[in-house]
Amino acid sequence: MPVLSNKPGWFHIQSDSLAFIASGKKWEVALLSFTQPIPMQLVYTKNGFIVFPKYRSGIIEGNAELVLTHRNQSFYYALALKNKKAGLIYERDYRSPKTVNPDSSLQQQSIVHRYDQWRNLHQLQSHSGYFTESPIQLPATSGVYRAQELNAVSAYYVQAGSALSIPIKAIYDRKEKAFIVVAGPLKDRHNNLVANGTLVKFEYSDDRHFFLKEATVLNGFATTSIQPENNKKYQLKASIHQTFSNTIELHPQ
Amino acid sequence: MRTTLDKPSYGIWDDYYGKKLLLVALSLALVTHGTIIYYTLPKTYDAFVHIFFADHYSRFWFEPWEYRWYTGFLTTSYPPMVHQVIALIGKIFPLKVAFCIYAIFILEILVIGIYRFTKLFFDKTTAGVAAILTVVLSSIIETLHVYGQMPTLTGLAFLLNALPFLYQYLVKRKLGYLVMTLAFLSVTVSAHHVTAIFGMVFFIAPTIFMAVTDGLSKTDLSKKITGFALAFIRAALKRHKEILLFGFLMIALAIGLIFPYWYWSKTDPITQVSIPHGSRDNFFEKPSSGLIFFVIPLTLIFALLPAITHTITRKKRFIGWAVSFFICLLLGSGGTTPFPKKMLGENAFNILTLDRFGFWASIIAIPFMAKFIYSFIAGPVKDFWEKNFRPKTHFILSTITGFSYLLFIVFIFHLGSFRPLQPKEIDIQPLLNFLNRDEHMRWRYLTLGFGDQMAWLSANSLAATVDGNYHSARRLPELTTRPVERLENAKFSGEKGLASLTDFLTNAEKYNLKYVFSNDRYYDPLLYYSGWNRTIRLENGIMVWEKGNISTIAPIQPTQVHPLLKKLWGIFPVGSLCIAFILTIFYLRRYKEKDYFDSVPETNQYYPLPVIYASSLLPILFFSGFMFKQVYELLLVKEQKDPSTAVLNYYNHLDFQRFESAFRFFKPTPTYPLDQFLLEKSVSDGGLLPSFAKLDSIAVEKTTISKDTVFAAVYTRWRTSLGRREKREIIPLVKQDKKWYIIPQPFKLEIPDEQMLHYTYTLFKRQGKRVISSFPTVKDDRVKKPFASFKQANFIRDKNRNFITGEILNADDVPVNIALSVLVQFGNNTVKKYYPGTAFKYNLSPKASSFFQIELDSTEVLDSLQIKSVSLYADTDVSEKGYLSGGSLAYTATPGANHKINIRTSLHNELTTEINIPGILVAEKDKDGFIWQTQLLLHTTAVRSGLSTHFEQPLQKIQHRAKRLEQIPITLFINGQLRQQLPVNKDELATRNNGIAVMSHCFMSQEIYLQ
Repeated sequence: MPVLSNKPGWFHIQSDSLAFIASGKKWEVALLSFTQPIPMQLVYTKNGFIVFPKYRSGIIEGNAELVLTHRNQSFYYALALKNKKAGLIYERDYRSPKTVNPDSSLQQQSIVHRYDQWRNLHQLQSHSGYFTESPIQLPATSGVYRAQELNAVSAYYVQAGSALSIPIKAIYDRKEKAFIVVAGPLKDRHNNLVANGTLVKFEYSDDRHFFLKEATVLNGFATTSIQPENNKKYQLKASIHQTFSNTIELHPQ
Repeated sequence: MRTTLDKPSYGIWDDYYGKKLLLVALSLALVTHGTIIYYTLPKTYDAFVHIFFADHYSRFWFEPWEYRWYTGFLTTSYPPMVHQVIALIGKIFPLKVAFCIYAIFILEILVIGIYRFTKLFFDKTTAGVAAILTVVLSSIIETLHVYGQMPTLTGLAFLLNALPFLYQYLVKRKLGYLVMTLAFLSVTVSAHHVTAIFGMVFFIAPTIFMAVTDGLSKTDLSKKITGFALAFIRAALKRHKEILLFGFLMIALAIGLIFPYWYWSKTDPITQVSIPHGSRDNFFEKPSSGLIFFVIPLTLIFALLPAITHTITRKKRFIGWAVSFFICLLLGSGGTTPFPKKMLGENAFNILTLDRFGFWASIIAIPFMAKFIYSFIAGPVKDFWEKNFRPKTHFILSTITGFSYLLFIVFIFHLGSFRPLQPKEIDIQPLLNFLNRDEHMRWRYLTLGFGDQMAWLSANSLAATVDGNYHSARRLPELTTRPVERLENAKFSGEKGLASLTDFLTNAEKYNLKYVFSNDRYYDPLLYYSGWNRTIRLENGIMVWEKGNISTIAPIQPTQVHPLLKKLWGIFPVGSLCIAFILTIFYLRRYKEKDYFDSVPETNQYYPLPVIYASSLLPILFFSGFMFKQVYELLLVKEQKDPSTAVLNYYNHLDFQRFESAFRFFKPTPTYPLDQFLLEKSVSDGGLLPSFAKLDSIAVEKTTISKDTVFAAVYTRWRTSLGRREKREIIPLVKQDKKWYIIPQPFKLEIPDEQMLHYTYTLFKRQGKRVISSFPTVKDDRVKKPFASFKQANFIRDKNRNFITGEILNADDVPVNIALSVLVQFGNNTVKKYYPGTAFKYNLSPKASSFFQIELDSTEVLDSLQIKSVSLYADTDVSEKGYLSGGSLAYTATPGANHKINIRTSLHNELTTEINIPGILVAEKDKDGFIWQTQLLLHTTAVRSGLSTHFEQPLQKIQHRAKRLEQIPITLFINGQLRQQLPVNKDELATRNNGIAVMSHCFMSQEIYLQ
């Protein structure tokens, strides 16, 4: 059985090597960390051999097992891997939920942690732990924000809420011979314009028929045109889900 | 000195007639079939299925579980040798080429087989003629180039080669021949079990009979039937050891070689509704089936039937063959007479494809046909014609017969072009790229309108489809309970086919079915209204449809097969071919005797006069007649001979989109040119009828006004993917120059006021934030689950029908795709999931809502199982399409008799694209606003931009008779979280409209970025 002559507390992947006292020449070596196999090299000495990593780049630190094989026999040695230097260190700020809607809540949770270029966690500078979490009350203004300024992946979103009321007006366009009906400006309770694409239903009726028209909101306004038949009068109201406008009367005269 | 090779001593045909003819046959087969097979292969029925199996063995030789079709099946359900050999050749060549190489190889073995088989009956020259006949025999050409049935041909090729060995073994009692017989029959068993089973009856039994008969003395042979029978039994008993040894070993090999197949068929028996097959039709009622399955393969046999019958019934040694031949011929006639069904039994009749019996009859007939043909070309029959009708007559007769037959063969080679059996060839590379991209293989896909090319796509990809092209392996109840061949050609299986397809499209989550590749817009309405969205049109023109909120494929436990059986399955069948090959070389070098067929008695060369006349003249009559009929149908049919024929043919041309031909039916007038016809068509087409429909049936009723003028009332029934539709039209016709013409109707063109139409769309684009790394993106590529809310959900029982109705709201600021499902838990702790069909708008714009209805099982079923709880689940996904649902509506709901409501709708298309299928989603509400039912009502004609359409649809109200089951509460979940229902509000508009609320739900086919 090969005897490890220089067992280290930590095995630094960028600098350390392991010396074994052993007889025989046909030895094979493998280093298996808990995430990946690490290629190793073996050089024979007078008393045995030395093994060291083939590439001296960083790894994910942690427990590993060195396996020495000679013919049909394998020998296992427990090691603890460590990088000599941490390399580049990044900070990550996770936000949850990424999308908030003021109809329900503007609360958000931020989770911050630090990690190096080889994906090892590092202690935070401000705290003694590895993670910090804090609740955040977001501003009610809708928009796209970033938790970290230069990182597009960290973006989070404050949406507009539901329309509080539907102001509505109609103008008769004589040239087009049609009513131009405009619903808006549509705002939520925080004065944000409601989302583009929000469906506004226009229901109107004459004395016999019921009409349904749909329009989508663009920049806070939903517009539709209605061509009246033979100077007929129409009663019209607009709605978004459960919010209704006043009923207005359309008459070409 | 002038030299010439035209000397008897240099004659090319002086010796070895049979072998030289065989070489000619082999060369001919190579040149003709070898050249053409690569081009006919994509149009065959079965070639791609066998290629798919070959691909399976190429990838997983010792693993019989094939997961790519039908959510998984065992390939032990089909003998593997053919597929394994193609897989081996496919290691060097591409699979299609490997198939062609194998096919040519087998055809050559078949030609040799026929040559050797014929030598059992007649002399070697006749055998050579038989070999040449094989190359041009219509049944073999059809089996190879139209059906692509490689295992059948392989089985037959080796069976025919085994028969002479069997005959020799029984006559000479040498064990070497038994070994050769079994070696060849082993290959037959490993290639095609059906050929092996029926081959025992139709080929091996007559061979044994013939061998035993040949051992009888001349005195025994000349006895009458009873005496002969007794002598035969005595001779058979003398050979009982040989016969029993052969029988025992044959059965042992048949079971042992493909034991996993027998084990599969015993443990997992086929229990499915029989799929209709044209070979079981009554050929008088369905002449098209008769043409394909009877006329084309067997015309030559019928033409030469007098000669075949004469020879096959003349000698006692042929009795077995005569019985086999006539039984096969009768069984091959399918459902034309009741006898095949009675002989085979109801069950076998409905499982077997009967054309193979006709095929075997044609094989048995080959030696007898060859004998007559030889006699006609260079024997006593030729002498008869030359003596009685001058040599020129015989020359002309044989030339015309030969040419007309060859034209007939050319017709069969091109049958796939004349009568397209398959869609045009599809370039599968864009599909493969799509499947490989973005982990699309983690879901199942379905092809529509691909024909048998779906198997070619499967063979080239590791992605799985819910469909498949091997009926015996189907186990999903949605497939086995209906007579549906494949989902991808559901439109050809009538209503049941579409019902099956609808099940898969609506229950897509159950099968992890996320992508549909559509090559046929016929299915577009069904896909759209079942909640599918178009995502991309690939470079090859295939439209990719996608369904949101579908889970990825969960691991399935394959059906367990013992490891030893897996090994046997991979080794024995191919091993049998190798052994047969090695033994053949050994036999040819060491064992073969010269003139080893000396025991075959000679046959009389003369035919009686009626047989000579009939068999000489019938071929010319049949083949010339056939070709004349084709030419007549192509060129000379009077399509306008009477008003009904004119209308029927006009619709026929329209249905197949032959617009120029259809236009010729209009009365020629300078004011109605082709341009005008096409222009009018372009503005009136595009709706459910006729653009997304297939003409099902047509009836014409004419009212005569005068001798030369009639009005034809045309009733048409159309099949659409959303059910049948009917239409009635009145068409005026006039007679001019002995032809009936349609008078073009004045076209009412609607023209909008505006010259330019504008409409503001708000379009969305979902942007994934994909991080490029070696790990699949887990978090940052996911777009959030949007908010939704149930406005109401009700459990309605209408007599025997049960359903959940309600309304769901997109509460978010982005468009969403919603997947609804109802989970019912029963008293016995079983659960069942139900999904909405077409009564739901699956995509909603921000703050939009949709009514829905989800059908449950019948009252009987639900009551017997006892409902424990009902949960309604909604899963949402950010969508970027499908939320535009059409134009503006005006509607009135007028009450009619018996609680019927007449809904009259006007739909104005204010969009910048044509609305192909105007439709409304209707909810029946009570005075408190609760929804009792939801229905999708569609209009059949399109409405162009800026125009309006009006349609009226009846709706049967159910409030007076149905119940809202409030005692069974519905638990609501959105994205897995428990949610409360919003308070139900009264719907004023619905109350004023007799309880009817509507929303537009239209299909627009052109601008796929909108829907």
